[in-house]
Amino acid sequence: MHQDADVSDIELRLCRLGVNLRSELATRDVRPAVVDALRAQRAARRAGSPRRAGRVAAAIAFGVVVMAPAAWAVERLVFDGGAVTVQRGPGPGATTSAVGRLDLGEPVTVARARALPGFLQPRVSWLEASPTAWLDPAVPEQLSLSYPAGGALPEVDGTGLGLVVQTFVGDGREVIRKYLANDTSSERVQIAGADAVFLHGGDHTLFYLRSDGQYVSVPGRLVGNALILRHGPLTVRIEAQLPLPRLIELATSLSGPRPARPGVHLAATLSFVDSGTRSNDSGRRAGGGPG
Amino acid sequence: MTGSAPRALEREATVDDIALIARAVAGDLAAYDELVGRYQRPALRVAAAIVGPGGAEDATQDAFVRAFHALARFDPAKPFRPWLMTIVANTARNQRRTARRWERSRTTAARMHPVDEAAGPEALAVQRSEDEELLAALARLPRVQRRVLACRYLMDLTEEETATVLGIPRGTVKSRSARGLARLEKSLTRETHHAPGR
Repeated sequence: MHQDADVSDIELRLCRLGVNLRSELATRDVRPAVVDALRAQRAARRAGSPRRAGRVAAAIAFGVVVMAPAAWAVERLVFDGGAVTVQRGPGPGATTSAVGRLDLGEPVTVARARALPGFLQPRVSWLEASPTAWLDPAVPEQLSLSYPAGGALPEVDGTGLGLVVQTFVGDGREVIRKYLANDTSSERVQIAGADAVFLHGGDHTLFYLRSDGQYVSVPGRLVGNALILRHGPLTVRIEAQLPLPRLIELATSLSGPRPARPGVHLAATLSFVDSGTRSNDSGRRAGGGPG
Repeated sequence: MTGSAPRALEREATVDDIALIARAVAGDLAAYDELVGRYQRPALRVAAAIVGPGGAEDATQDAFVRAFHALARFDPAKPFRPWLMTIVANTARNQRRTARRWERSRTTAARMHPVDEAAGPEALAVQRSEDEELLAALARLPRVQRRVLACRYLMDLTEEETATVLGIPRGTVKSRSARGLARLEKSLTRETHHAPGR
């Protein structure tokens, strides 16, 4: 507007007034009033309706899912003290090809990955190929294993890949407490007695709470099906163009670097992760009590 | 409007925003406090465009309280800022006695001009008087025209942002802006001619 050559006098006056008004507005701070009002509302609710407050607390403790009004389905999976949000739909900046979105970090040797606390490997007979391990230096609590397509693994979206298993070191407490969904493309499933969520038919983004209290977002790497589960102190995501029974099979076969006894998998794995701390040493302490 | 001014009303919700939102939904007021800090400036502008600078603070506070309770319905796939600004605009629109609030904005005009030794008291008085006169003239405009002018000129929103905030088509923004400017000019000219000593 200022750039127009034929700006009228009244426009100039308005603009000048606007500059002054905006600089005056910039001195105002509504934060204390907003937070005070919310605290007061919270206190009034507690005082006026203990039963309702109890229900709210229970909802927070056991997980909350909120329905998205639009075509986008949003699921929030709230863990103890933290939240994992699974956001459905193509998401901002999504591309039709998954190749550009993989971005799993840098390849590392599987031997090195085994030494990391987030290492989990599916061990099923029909998984023939060896994985490639990936580590993102910027997000060291994430570890990925990718498997090429072939055999029982159909290729996903022209990526050449058939399976990606990712582990995220979360806040290390319990399992998914509750899962709610608002569309038919997600299902609540139980894996070794723990809640998990199966997503199919679209892209998604996962948010998880790190041990330092920060939330981290992780976009879907493959446009396929995904199974997200709580595994000891870890959150695990398995992505492949596979039906749910196969994904569950993969999930239940997950084990750490040294499964000491055959058949000891889900219950005993990951107990080596010590309250979110990481060290090469701790990564080798497999076989302890459940986390 | 200057090209350098940050506008991007359609800016996507950042990962940080979403993290704060998720924490706020879980009841973390400190996280919401931070979110308010990030967006209070554009929110105040939008509120000021609708209710006038005098009522902007109240409207913005109300809007942030409402937004907190609606946060769980926010779709993280969509940009946060327009979602929030829509709540601010709706809250401001629902505030009653808008015109009176605009008249109260004269006090804002006074706050805008703190004592400036260099400018001299006379120049300041003239400037303040002109601003008050302009605010008063704006307050007399039909509401729909006043809101468009306030969005476009006072709060430096683009046509598109104005259309989003006011919930009207861009073409309507243009036509109301043109009509409002003409009416405002006429109003000020008439006042100047009638004013004693001018």
